[in-house]
Formats: sequence, C-alpha cells, structure tokens
Amino acid sequence: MNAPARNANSPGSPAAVTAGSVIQVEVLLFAAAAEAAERRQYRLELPAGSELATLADSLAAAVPALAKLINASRWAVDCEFVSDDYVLQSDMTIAMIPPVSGG
Amino acid sequence: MIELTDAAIDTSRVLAEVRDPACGAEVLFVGTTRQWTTSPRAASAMPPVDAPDLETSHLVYDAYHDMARAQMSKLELEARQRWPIRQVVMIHRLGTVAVSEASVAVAVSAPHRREAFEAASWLIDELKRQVPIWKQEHYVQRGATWIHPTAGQCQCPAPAESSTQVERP
Repeated sequence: MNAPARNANSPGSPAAVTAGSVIQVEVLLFAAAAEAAERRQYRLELPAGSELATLADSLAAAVPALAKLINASRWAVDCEFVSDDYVLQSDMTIAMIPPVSGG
Repeated sequence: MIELTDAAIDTSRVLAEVRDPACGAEVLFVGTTRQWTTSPRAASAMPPVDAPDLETSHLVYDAYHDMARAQMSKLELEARQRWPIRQVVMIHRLGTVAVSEASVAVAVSAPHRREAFEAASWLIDELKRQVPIWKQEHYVQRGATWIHPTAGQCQCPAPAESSTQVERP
C-alpha cells in the first residue's frame, strides 16, 4: 500500500508506474526552506491518496537540510492552512509555511 | 485596503485612507526596522551574559503573496465582525527594508477610540501569527539569518553565514 515516494527532481528517475497509482505534487518553498532546497518549488511523486504527513516525510527524506524546519512548519493547500491528515491530489497548490515572521 | 508593496510605506497616505466622517478615532500602527537587537545567545544563556547587541543593516522580506493577501483579507473581515470599525488599511512591505524604515502599517478608524485601538492591536498581532511573510535579518556583524520563531525551549542561533535562526517569539 505504501509505495515509497519518488523524487521527481532527480535526473533519470524511473518512469514505470501504474497510471492512477501516483500523484504529482509541487510544493512551494519560502525563506529558509527555499534557501535550504536551493529552489522555490519542489516536485514530488507520491502514492495516490497520500496525506500531507507523507509529503512532509518525503520532502524531509529528499532534502535532509529541510527536515528540522519541516517539523516546525505548517502547510497550506490552495492558500488555506490544512492539517497533516489532509488528503492530497494532483493539481493542488501546496505550500510549506515555516514559522512566520512578518510585521 | 490590503496591500503588499516593494515601495516605501507612506504613513500619511495610510492615515488619509482611513479618514471617515463617521469616525472620531483613527489608530495607526507602524512597524519599523530596529537597528539594535539583543543577541539571542546572550539573552538565553544561563545565567544571561553581557554581549554586544546585534546591529541590523537591513531586513529582507519574503512572502507567499496570494496567501498573504488572502489571510490579511480574512483578518480584516474578522476584525469587522468583532468591532464596529469603519476603514481598515493593512500594508506590508516586501524586499529590502533599511533600518528605521517602515515594514508594516495597520490603520483602523472607528467612531470611538476604544474599538480603534483594540482592532488595530488585534490586527497586527494576528498578522504576525497568521500571515505567510518572513523576514531575513542582515546583521552588520554576522551575515544574514531567516527568522522562523518557535515557542518553547531556548534555541541557540546557527553559525554566522546565512542561516536559519529560531528564537523565542
């Protein structure tokens, strides 16, 4: 059931998957997260039906420099804060929201 | 009025925007870049040690623009439900902000001063909790640090060059 998430950012990622069994997601990154990942969007492939918690774990595995900040961060889907058990689908706009410091 | 801008904040304009003939009170909060910050390492050491304050050369702000505007609009809506206020302006500056310049302005007008003060105070407190904007402190002494405050235990700042600092809120 829990197929490992794959890093769609690495060159030469294996392409053979069953259609419908995975979703492609893109995570928006900001501030120290963007700096640690050296980019402002990060693409991941996740099993269909994955929750946000799975995305968080996958991102931490793919970019170890992000792990500590991920633990402290909230998440947003389509500009709304969501909880860790939020079920993801392709075409959602997902953002990692590290502790904010505006104002 | 909700705005994210790269331009300098014109506080006179902000006050003019909230002027309303039904209002006897206008409250303006302006958040400015502090030049001096007590070193977190010194302040959180046990016992606290004397150390020179950190001098900020400038701040750089990043934002998730769409969500920041959406959150600020939600805060305005909620403030309007809680208090009988008339006009609201919330402006946050993004990009580079020099010392003593304004990073944020929140202004509220209301018939009476109590609601205006309370609403303005609530709006800036909630902006600082809920709105996806982040600042990077550029210190004269030690490079740049993104500020990602977390509650709870003492966190020591990371090494000098561009780093993530977690600090007490």
